[in-house]
Amino acid sequence: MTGLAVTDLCKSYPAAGGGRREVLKGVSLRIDKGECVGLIGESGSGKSTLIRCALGLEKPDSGRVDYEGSFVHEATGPDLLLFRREVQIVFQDPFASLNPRMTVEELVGEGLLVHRIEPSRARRRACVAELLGRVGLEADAMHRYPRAFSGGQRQRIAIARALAVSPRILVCDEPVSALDVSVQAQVINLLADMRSALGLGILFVAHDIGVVRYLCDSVLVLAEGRVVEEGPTETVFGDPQHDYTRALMAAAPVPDPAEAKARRALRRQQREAARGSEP
Amino acid sequence: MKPLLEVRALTIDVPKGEGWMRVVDGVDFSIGAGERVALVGESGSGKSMTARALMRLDDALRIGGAIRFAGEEVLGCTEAEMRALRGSGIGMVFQDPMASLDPFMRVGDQVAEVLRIRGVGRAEAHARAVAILAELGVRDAASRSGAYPHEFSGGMRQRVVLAMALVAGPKLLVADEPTTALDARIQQQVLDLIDDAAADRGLGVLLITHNLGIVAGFADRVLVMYSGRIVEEGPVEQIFAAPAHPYTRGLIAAVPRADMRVDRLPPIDGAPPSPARRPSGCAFHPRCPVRLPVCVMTAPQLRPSGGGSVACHLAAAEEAMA
Repeated sequence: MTGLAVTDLCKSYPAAGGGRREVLKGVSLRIDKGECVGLIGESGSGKSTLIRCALGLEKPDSGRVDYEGSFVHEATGPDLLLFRREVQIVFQDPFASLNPRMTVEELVGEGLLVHRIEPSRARRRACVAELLGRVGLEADAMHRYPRAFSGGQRQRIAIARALAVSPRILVCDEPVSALDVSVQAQVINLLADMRSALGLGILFVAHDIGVVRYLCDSVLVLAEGRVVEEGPTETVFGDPQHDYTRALMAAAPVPDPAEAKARRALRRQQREAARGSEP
Repeated sequence: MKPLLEVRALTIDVPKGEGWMRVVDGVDFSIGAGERVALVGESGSGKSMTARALMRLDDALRIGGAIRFAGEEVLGCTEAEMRALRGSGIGMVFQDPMASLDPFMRVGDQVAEVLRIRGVGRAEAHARAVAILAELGVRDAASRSGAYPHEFSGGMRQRVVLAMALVAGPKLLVADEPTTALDARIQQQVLDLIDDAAADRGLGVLLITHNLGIVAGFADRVLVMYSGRIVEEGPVEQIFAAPAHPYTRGLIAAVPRADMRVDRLPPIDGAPPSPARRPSGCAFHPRCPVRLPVCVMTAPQLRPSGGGSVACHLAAAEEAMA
């Protein structure tokens, strides 16, 4: 058994009007090393709760999370440390996820210190320089603070920070949705390169089908706490079976004026027909 | 026929330290009655500043050039004339609906207020507010108009904001990233709403976005803005089928497609420049894959190309050869 496996995860929270709201209703997924799995879900689908449970930050009501054969939620001591080190996360908003009072050297090197991988400051600095090069930043970036960098550069710093401790699995929570379109592709390609160079497993959580279709081998579609469709990316998006997947595909913008306008005219006809049939 | 909106040689400076920093540097465009124009650009391109200047929302900005709306010079208007123009002339929708709404005021009252300050009676203003909320797809609008913004979802709030923008009967709707924080399905619904509302009223629309993908199905004409200037402009079909500026080409190629498998997603290298450090010559030259020596020295002028225009030395040279 390798990689990260989530099995039959259920999670509920107290609801506003009493009772409980089920956010995850039995979700299973698995990421092996070197594999890139996409998770598509809209806001409210439960994807953030799923990420928190899968990272061991939140305890599920039932179901389990395994990493390398041990239960994440029961892990203690060295097992827990290993999990914390080998499963890393990259967040959506690089403006919020990087401490503005730390230099890039401190940010990227923090994991090396915390996990006691590289206690020597000089050697840590050399590691940080190498990591920055790997994500396409100059080594002298390490002396500056996050505010000196653009959104795309900050996301590279966040990726370097995650990669510092030699993780096996990278959980990416909407890592490009806050970035300009021209820069999105840089970060996506960087993730693809890191995956093939380092054999990383990636769980790529996004609402943008285009990005997932480009990057991921397989995909799960999450709706209201359930996986409604899953499979190899091209099978799912080439011939979607579930109505929800089809609705998501139909709503994705098409960068082709003739096609997009034909779709818009069709939707307009449908709306007018619906309006006409109302009492 | 005179266009509805005519912008000439628009410059915008923002205060910076002791002096000023230029964020929009000579922008020309016009929008005809009922025409949909998309203004596409990245962070720092000046696109939102341009929108704010049209409505003179920001007193701290120094605005130069000319903005004519329905024959009237906006930059010469008094503050009282501007209040009349906002809402009844130009309606505006922003990215974050929560920032446009008062959390302590019922949504129906917020829509009605736009009419109340124009002297419409309480009962009539309320009735028109309910009617436009219903038209924009708020179910049980009569009762839900008594709800507060926090009781609405993001997509529903955007409907309320759209109702506020439209209720006083403007001729032009300016929508600044109206769908950016929304899921694809809600994004499409909001765009369809704007589409219907604009078609029913014959509204001109200026849609401001960083996402070229949503532009294809919506706009008649596209303006591409980079670092404070328009670098390409043309009919939407031409922009997508034969983009003339390397930046426009890069933007189109960088959009991942949901409807087909793409093997390679070519990024645009580097990052959009901050207005404080605008590169010499053509501002795109440090990121441009086909730059010429001249691009570093002189900024290219916008020249006619096909049905639109483009500001690129290479495109001009190629046109001269052909």
